Amino acid sequence: MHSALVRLVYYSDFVFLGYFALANLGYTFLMTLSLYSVSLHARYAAGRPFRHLADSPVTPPVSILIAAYNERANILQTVLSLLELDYPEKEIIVVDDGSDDGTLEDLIRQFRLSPMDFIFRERLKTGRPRGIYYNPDYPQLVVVSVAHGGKSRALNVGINLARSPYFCTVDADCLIEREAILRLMAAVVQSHEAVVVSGGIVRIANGCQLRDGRLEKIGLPSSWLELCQIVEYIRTFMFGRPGWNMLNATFIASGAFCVLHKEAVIGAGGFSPDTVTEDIDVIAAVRRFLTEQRQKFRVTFTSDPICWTEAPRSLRMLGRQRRRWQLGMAQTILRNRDMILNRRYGATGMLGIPFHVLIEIVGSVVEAFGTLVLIPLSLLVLGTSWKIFLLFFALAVAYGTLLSMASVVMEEITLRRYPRLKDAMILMLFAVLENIGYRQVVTVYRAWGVLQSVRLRRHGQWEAVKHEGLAVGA
Amino acid sequence: MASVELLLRIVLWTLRGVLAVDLCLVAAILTRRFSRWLYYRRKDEAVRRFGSVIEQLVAGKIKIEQAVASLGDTHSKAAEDAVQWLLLERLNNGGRAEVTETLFRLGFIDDWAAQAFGSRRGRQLIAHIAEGASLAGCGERQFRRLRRLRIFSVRRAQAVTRLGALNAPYARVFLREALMDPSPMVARANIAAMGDNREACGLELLLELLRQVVEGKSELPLHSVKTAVIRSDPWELGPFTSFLKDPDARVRFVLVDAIREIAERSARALTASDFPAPLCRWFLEEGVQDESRDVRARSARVIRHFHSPAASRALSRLLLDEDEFVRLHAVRACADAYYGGLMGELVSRVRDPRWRVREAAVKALAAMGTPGRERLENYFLEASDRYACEQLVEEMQRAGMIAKMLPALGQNTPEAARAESVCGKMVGLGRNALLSEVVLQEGGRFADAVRARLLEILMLAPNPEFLQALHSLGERQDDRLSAKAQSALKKMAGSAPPPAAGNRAAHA
Repeated sequence: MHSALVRLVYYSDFVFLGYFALANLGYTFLMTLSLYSVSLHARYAAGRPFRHLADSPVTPPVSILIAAYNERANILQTVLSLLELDYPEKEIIVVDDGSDDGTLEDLIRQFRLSPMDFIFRERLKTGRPRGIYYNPDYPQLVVVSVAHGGKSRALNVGINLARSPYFCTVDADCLIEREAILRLMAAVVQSHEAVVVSGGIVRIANGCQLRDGRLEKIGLPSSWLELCQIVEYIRTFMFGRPGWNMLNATFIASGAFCVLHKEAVIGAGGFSPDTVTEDIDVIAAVRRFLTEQRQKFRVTFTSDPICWTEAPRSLRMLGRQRRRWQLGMAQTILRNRDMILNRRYGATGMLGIPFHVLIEIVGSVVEAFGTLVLIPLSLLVLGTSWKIFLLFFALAVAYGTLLSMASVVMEEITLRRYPRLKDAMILMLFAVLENIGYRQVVTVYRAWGVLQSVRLRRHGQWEAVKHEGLAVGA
Repeated sequence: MASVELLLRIVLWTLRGVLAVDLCLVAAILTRRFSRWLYYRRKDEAVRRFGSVIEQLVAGKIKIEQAVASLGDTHSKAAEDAVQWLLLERLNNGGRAEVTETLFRLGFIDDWAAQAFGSRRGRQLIAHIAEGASLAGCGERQFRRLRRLRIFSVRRAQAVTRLGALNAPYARVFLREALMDPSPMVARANIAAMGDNREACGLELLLELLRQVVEGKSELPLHSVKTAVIRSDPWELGPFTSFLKDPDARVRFVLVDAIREIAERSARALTASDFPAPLCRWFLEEGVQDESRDVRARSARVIRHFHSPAASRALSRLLLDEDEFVRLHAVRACADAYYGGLMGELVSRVRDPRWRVREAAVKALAAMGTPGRERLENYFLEASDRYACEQLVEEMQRAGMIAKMLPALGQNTPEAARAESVCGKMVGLGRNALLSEVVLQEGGRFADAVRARLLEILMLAPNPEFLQALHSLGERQDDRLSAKAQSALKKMAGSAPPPAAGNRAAHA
């Protein structure tokens, strides 16, 4: 019995080391591609080639959809920021998903909305809304009230009401930079291929000061948890997605801020309520639909349109969020498992999805298992020296630090959203610290999310992450 | 054991390497911050120093030689960039010839030409411009595949943008040369520069590019070329006429659509005399009967800008087109007070079998001012087509028409009678969300008399939404309408239950 356990632990150690090497090789490859892509784009964008798009009457209109459930803390700032957006033709559709915290009432009061009897064409099956609110003085804004039914249904209601060929999903707790949609749409209109999804960067607004829907002052929060998340977001969006975009293998675009082609989404059946991350799922569905239709298309990611969002402030909320993301990704991959290593789906099928399965899904479980079980067992059963483990742990931390620090430097060179030197140095410090403790905690939450999906445990459609609202300037 | 030690040693060295790189990254941030601070300080200083020189140059107060002598006195990259920036800013704000000459003498144009086309070809182009030297064709460029890569294109694209903004004799040569560049990024920059600098680039060239794009012979994005084309003014559109004879319907469609954009972005109201006469003739005689529905549809949107009796006749014909899409665009084209004579035809389009056309007709009538709105209200009161009526209700609400007519309620005027009829019909259709809300708004923008009258109208066909509002009103202590609401509720309790939603219209 003891010898079997020794052998098991011994071989598991190799699996763990193999995963460690594979994951870091993958990340290094993506880092190299991203470095190239982001720096090039930054140089090109410095010439402000988007101004032509803003002036051109040929630029297609965009409907901006916000699904809001109990978002009273942020919704007004979000809508104000959207009304200020620099885009030639836009409409903003806020779908209140049966909030009970006064979200709808706040919107009605702020924008002096009245209930109206608009025609509702149910192209996606959603049921009729409870009310549609409008004020002719704000002709770009429509607010819809529906009975609580989940974010997917709320977004589908918005699609049914949208009048533009493209729509942009924006989370209710997000602030969009003035030119952000213009930059997202630049990828759509300047491409030779039909771009059906165009995603941008999400940043954390905790610690920033708002006024009238705009970021008045960009700063950093004081809590270590929020600082770690800021570094993590910078790393994800600077050193992950641009790399996948270069390979034309984008599998994920954050639904917090993403432009989609309306007819493609309707053709794919809209946002599905069957997964908890409808944004990941809809991209896979669109990809499947268009591939079956034998249409040429592209899913893109652009590294400078920025959307600011509020990050969880407590470990409990963070855990909820990460579990949900991981569960959603696992559900989407399970639903679309026939895409894995399927040449019909191009680089996404051959590279993007397998990487996500191996490194993001299986990898999170391996990493959590290795950290929580294997290392203690190895020490106890194999009698491995502490020094060896410490050395490998130090190597893992140092490599993670390298990725995070390089991301912060990349941010500094390209977007440079943190003007104070002190903030840049704090981010560098947290690029080291987030690898000790924070990363391990997040890995455990992610592994938990994967295990939930294996157990086919259905979560509520909208596992709410509580927002406290961002600081608003006096 | 030896292999374990070796492994550990490798790990240790890797660790040291990674830590060294980490330290370098920290140093990189510090260095960059400092160098940026220094750079911008010097640049600001240079902007202050040289700004007045450039102002004087453009105002003609100093000669180019004097300006070149002053502006050439730069000792840092930041100062050089500042001079470049100041001069480029001035290129599009008057003084293009003087500024171009200054840039040339300062050597900036040589640098940009070398960046965009290579040193040797750059020198040849400059010699051609400056000395009239003959220019040999550049031949097939080497490394086309490499030159297409973004990594090698950014600098060239930026240089082409700058060269394209120069005075016409310079820019013309550079823009034509840049057309040979295999990179899509450079091509986009080139097209944008062509659109911005119309003196340097004839419309014919852009139209030819547009045709190539539509026919799939060019990789340029259609949006970029179209954006460049539509920077023209309506009176410059003569070259379009020959291109509109293209046998390919897609080419004709894109061209007509570009003309529509040009007309629609014009700041002032246009007439037929603002367009070249042959072009007007083409639209009125051939565009309206083109075999392609897309061309006919877009032609309607151009013809509206002619504001002439012939245009009215052409639009009237298109309003009756057999194709839904053409009718839709013809209806949208009529949304102009000048075409008031077509109101009758527009009202008939409110009964169109296709909802998009009905929707557009309602909007067009609403956009025609008071007479259009009155026709719309009259039609709304007379119509029996439920779908058309629902569309009308939506558009009247979106346009704020309902809210504007409500204050007349309860008075003894023709406006009040019309408002009562409109509200009555809305209630009959079950479209009473807005009206119920008004009844609930005490102390709002509507007087109590208006609310009281509305309450009576809503009682004609009470639906659950209104009943909820009525209960809420009846429970209020301080609302002057609560007694009226309570008595209405009592009256209803004593009578039959309210009809089901489907029967509301009939009930009204």
